[in-house]
Amino acid sequence: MTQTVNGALASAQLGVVAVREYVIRARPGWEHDPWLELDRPAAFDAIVSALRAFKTLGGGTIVEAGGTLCGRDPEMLEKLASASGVNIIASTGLAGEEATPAHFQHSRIEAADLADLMADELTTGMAARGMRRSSVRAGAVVTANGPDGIPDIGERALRAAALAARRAGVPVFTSGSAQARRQLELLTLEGLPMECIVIGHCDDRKAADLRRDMEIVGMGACVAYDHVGWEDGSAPHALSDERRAELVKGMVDAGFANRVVLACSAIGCALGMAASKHATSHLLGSFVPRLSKAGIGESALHTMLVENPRRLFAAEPGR
Amino acid sequence: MPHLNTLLGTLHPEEMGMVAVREHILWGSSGWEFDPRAWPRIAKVFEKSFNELLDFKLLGGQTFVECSGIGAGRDLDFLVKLTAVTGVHVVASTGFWSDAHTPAHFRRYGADDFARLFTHELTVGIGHTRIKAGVISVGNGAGGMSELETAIYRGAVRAAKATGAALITHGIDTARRQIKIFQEELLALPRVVFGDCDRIIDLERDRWLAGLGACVAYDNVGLEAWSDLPYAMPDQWRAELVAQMVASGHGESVMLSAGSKVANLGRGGAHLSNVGNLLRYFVPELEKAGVAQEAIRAILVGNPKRVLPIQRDSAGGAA
Repeated sequence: MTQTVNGALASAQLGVVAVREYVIRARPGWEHDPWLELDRPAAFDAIVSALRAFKTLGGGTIVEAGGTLCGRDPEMLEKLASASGVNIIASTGLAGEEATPAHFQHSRIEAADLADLMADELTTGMAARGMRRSSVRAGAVVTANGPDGIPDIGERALRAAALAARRAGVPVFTSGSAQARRQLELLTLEGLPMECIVIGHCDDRKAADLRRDMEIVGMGACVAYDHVGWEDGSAPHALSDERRAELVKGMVDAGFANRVVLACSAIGCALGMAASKHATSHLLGSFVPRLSKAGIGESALHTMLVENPRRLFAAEPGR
Repeated sequence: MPHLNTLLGTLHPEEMGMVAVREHILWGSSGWEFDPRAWPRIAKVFEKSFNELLDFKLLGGQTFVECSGIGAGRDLDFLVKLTAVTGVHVVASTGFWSDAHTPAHFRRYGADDFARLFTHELTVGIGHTRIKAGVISVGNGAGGMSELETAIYRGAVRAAKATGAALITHGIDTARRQIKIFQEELLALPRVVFGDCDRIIDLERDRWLAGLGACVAYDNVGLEAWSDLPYAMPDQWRAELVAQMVASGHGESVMLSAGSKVANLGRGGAHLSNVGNLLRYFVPELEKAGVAQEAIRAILVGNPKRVLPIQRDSAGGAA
């Protein structure tokens, strides 16, 4: 079973899954900024429209990959999923070092403490604003790190992610693929099976490396090309969809379609940071046709969009 | 005209009475709000705050400056209600306590961005409210002043100059660096209070600061051997410091506070003392050390009244 914000769902019902999307995205502390205001009704409408567009094209589910710190609003996610008809799987987990607040950076908070925090969000309910625990549960764990090594807090967060994911039977989605090998090392050190790991942002322009990706899937983990549509050179990680499609094609041609997942990392509502110029519907409206044109067949597409996520989210607790 | 912003509006300086210049209700490093295990039982915290403020009031205290600043536990709704039901004048502060207390959203700010934010909180309101901060409170962590902290200090100085607000600093180990910044930025020192002067005892430093026209605050009163903090010390030592400052003619530059925290929003390291102890135990300690009644009154009433209210004209006049 998969934990969506609207409750448990058989993973066979997830349909086409975009494995990394953002509904509201902000850095911790944004609510103290007097010049930043969340126009909630407007954001709600915009996000519902974006999700419906994805659904119209055949989309079924998104993974909201913001984690614990970056603007997540559990009850709003629940209502957005109901209003749009798209399943939302929310996530727990810390952000990259720069966005992870001092409270968590302090060494007295150990991996086991962070694991408890994440496991609570997966099994009881996610923390909400106002020192309140909501009854809406997360269904995935995310981690993030920069390109130049995994700092102490990143290491604790990865170990915690593995521990919590094992306890709850959910997958871990990393980002910062330049450190993919170290991510795998830390996650498996804590006993997380390779088949529960998705190495994310493998389509980062600065870190794209098809040989590495083949090595990763050779070990049994998945790779995610999850920044589809981020083509604009203003983002340092941006890569053209053309080049991104070549990466996917390379993997499929090598027989690894069963270890590839896809997403757009589109931002529904950005607060105090750059928004994406595209929405999640870009995945099915533009990128999938591009993949077809490149010669990737229906069955490989179905594997990447439906079967792989279904397998990832079908894990059982206590592994 | 000179006035003090409290949570319930403005106050004439004559209404301030005895002042505790550096206290906290809720206190935590940035990110506590995401960690349910760091959350206090808020109803209990309110009851405890209520009792402690009434205790302070019954002992003659009238004004309580809450120095936590943005993101470190300053909770407006909580403070407004506390002010209203106790009748103690609670003053909120603007500023960031240190690097570790600055949330990610503000970590890209430069000095002028900080100045704009602090000025807004002092003159328009905190967040989207019309409730104004009364003083600026900034500091630095152990180990010098980071680049971000330097920008925070400079922003604080620029906001102080633009608004006429007083500046309370926390980070006595960087006193010389602070003085250099204040001189570069042409801030008149009579509106600056150097806090934590009983964290590292140095009578010559305090006399030097007083000679420059600034105030020094012994603001950890009551933090005695019961605490395992490295700067805990007998109150008698603090009283002797005050006596020596008064004896050398620097009584007009001294302020006092308990640095109390009603609730620590973190794990471990509780540092809880009671603001009432400032008047219950420390005033007798001062008398024992030979400080005259009038000098004590000047320290608790006269000096805060002269320094803390927002005032445009008299900056520098007392130097």
